[in-house]
Amino acid sequence: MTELVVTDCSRLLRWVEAYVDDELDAAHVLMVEEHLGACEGCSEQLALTRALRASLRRIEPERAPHGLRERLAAVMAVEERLVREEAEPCANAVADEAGAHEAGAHEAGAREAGAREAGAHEAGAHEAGAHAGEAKAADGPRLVSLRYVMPLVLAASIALFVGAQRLRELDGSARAARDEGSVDASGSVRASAFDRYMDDLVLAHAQPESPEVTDLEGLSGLDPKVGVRLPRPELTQLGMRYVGARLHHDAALMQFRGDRNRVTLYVFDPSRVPLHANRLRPRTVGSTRLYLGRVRGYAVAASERDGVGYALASDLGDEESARVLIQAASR
Amino acid sequence: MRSPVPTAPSNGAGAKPNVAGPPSTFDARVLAHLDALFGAAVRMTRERAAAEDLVQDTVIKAIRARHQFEEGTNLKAWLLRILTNTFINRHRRAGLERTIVEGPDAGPLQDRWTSVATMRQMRDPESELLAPMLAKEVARALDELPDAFRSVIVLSDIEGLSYREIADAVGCPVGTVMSRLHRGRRALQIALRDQAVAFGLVPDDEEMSEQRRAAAGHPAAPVDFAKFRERQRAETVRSKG
Repeated sequence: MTELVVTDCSRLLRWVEAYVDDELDAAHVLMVEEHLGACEGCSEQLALTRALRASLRRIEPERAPHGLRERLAAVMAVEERLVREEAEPCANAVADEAGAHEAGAHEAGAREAGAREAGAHEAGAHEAGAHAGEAKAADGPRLVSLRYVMPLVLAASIALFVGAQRLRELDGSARAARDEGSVDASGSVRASAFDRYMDDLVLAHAQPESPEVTDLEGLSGLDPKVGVRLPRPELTQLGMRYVGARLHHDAALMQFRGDRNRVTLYVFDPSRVPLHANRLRPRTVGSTRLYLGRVRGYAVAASERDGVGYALASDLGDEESARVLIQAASR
Repeated sequence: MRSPVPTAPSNGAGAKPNVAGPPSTFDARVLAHLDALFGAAVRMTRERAAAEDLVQDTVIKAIRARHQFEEGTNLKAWLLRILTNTFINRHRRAGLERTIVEGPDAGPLQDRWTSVATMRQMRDPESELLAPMLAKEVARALDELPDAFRSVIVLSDIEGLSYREIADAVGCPVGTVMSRLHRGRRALQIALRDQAVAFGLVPDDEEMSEQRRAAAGHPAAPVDFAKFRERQRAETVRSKG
């Protein structure tokens, strides 16, 4: 270690600072104090550093805004749920449903059924699950309350799913960033890469450009550029005619035209742009998981099938748009 | 001393749920530090909206990595570490950090940057110079500092973390923390002195400035961040073009 002899002030300067910060070992403390007693410049510097430190502490403390506090409480609730789900996936999925069911039943005023469900819920998740299952299957008077309950269950599960999706996305981007040697998750709570992708798609749909290729031959040429095997576009069943395609960013952009409507379809590699649709709502049609929503008034839909990503923007209705997407993804 | 906090606080991927303690208690303890986190975030980002985002990401990372927190150690320091980490990574892309710390401006500071008389006047409670001035001016001078210096000052002087804890938070050796603290504080003192001189509150110690310039071998002040930034910007533009 450094020998404890001081020749000039500049060598001591850093130690004076460590002295102010109470980070100096005893030997150096003695040395610094000895010097301070003899050197006016250093002792004055010490006093000023202390004064500065004191005034930095006097800077008006910030209070976290109320909105932030509330947002975080909500985030924590979802996060806790995810942790529990990871621990006990089956029991929890069922318990959640039963929980939502219970809330719904109370609101619907179905006291009897509600009380029974609530009791079951408290008695244990598995039992509650059995009850919820029974209730779903049961006919007769219980259905009256279920009519009110089911939309609430649905709404609750969608809210939970969207929340979970956002958190998973944060996790995913943190992981991706770490792979690049950084632990950043910046911007992830806001728009995902996929959200931006959808913005591009809608823009391309709103202001269509002429296609690069109009024949199937040319379309095959796009395969290596997109990195996935592109489907042969076939939407005639739905009254949509294939106009042509071109490369747009990393995706193949296909244009279709109906009598009065247009559809723009993105076919992309979901490993490049993971399907994290923050602004769309999830829906399951048959075995296909879809994301539906509206961006700037246009119906948008997205899905993934056999490792290929599909997203479309159209001037159709939501249902129609979902049907077109399923058709396109079914090849 | 071993670091009490994990190197990668955002690593919630392999996290096993904490069965030891009820999670809600941990959440509540995290929320108890929310004002401190937000305060540090505002000082670091200099913008309330950005600070809210930073705090939100920090809290999510923290509750996800809760099992990595060692009970009995300083929770606030651990949270600030995650916050600083996130902040630095988010701003590192600008590329400024490294160049400031390792670039030509990283040379030693002159220890005699102003006269003893001026130093005394600046902190003299009788003259009431610092008390009213520092409240506003210190905050502003702090905002003017580059990220690398501002963050260590926030963590040390405002949040009261130890050198070791700061080193863990910003991911650099303790020696670098000390050097940044020293240079950052000196820059603040110079900024405040210049401010006081501009207000006519203390006389301009012309002699000292001349000496300083001569010693530095060029006409720039020892830590002239405004000039440094200008130069950085020009270089960035050149390298892009």
